[in-house]
Amino acid sequence: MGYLKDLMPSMLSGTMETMKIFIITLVLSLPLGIVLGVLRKSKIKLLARILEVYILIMRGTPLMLQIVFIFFGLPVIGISLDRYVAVLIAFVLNYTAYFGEIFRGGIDTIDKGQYEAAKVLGFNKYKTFTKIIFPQVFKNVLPSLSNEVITLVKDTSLVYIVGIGELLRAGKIASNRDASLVPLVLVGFIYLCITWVLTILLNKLEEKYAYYE
Amino acid sequence: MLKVENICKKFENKEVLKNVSFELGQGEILSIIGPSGAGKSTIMRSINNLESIDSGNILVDGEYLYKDGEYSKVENYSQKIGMVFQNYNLFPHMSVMENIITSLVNVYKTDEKTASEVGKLALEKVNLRDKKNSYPYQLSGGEKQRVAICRAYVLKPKIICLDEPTSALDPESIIDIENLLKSLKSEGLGILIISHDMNFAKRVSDRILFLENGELYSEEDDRVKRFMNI
Repeated sequence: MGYLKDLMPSMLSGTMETMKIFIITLVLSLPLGIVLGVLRKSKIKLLARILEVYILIMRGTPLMLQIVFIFFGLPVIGISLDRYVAVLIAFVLNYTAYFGEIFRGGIDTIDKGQYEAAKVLGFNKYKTFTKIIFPQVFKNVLPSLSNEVITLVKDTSLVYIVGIGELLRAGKIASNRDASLVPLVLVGFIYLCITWVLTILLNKLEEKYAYYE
Repeated sequence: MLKVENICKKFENKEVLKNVSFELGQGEILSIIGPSGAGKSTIMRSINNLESIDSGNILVDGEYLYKDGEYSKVENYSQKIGMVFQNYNLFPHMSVMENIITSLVNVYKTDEKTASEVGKLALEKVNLRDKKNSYPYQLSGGEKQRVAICRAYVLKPKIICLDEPTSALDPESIIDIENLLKSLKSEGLGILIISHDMNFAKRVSDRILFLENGELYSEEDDRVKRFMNI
């Protein structure tokens, strides 16, 4: 117990870093993902093509490589970023691509008749999307979004590569220092607790939207 | 109130509407009947600006929606002409009341309390007051149809168009819809029905037009008489 108590300050500080990256990424990439999902349906062929390539790159290469490229690669062309900013850019770019594809798929599931009904009732395009289409899309994509959100929690551990003191790094340092697996078990337990709480919250959100079929 | 003049429409090389003209007056029920693929739905979709036309005019209450095939924006069009879709297209995430008042509140900026009062009266008219908090998936086909009519009706249009209103209804619901349409007619609404249900059209309509291969014929035409006697 005494040993666990000694580990707690560094573990808590690591957890805070992990949560900070998780929350900032989520807050930025969710709305950007919605915008991306909508723009992917753009009639401007060039724009749709550019976004398609962006998504291909983001989904087709490892997130760790993207972090490395932004932090270590960009200085080669004269763009140096703070490690925290670099990590956040990589996470937001990567997760926006995933969320964008989820929302695009969700938009595709909505029947054309819903758009037509909105049009004959006088809704403009913006109101059609916000009042009629998006609420239905959100319900449809919620299970896929939940999966990505849980994955994001675990992906935050990748930031150790640029030396940010998140939870896994805190655990590894303690594990190496004390030649013990206990810190890593504790790290696993903390990750499990975070994803458990998130799973409960996301299930509640799904229940909230289950009021109609 | 509704004037359709010489409208033509081609899909690729197929002419679906050939110089179609007709008028619909106040307090009149007009049915356009004909076989599948005759172009009936294209007429209705054109009138509701869901489909463009190649040439011709469409006027609602003296205002051009299309002039010589060119679209011209009509302000508050949904308050001039309403549409009830074949599969109703109710919004599944909204309750019956929300479906009915959503346009009043979100488009026409009516305050929610006033809109709800209007919605309640409309629901009473179609005997669905007890369903105001239900969701579309909890309704029968006939009830969905009546909600869809209410949704168009609360905007106080001059004309309501119904696309195949009896296609998915049981005989009892068809009688309900007939009575409802007659009641709307008595309020002065013009009602345009697209249907292939000959008996329904005969019972409910003041006039029937027959559409075949994109051409419109009046009741006096021999082929219409033959079709109506089937």
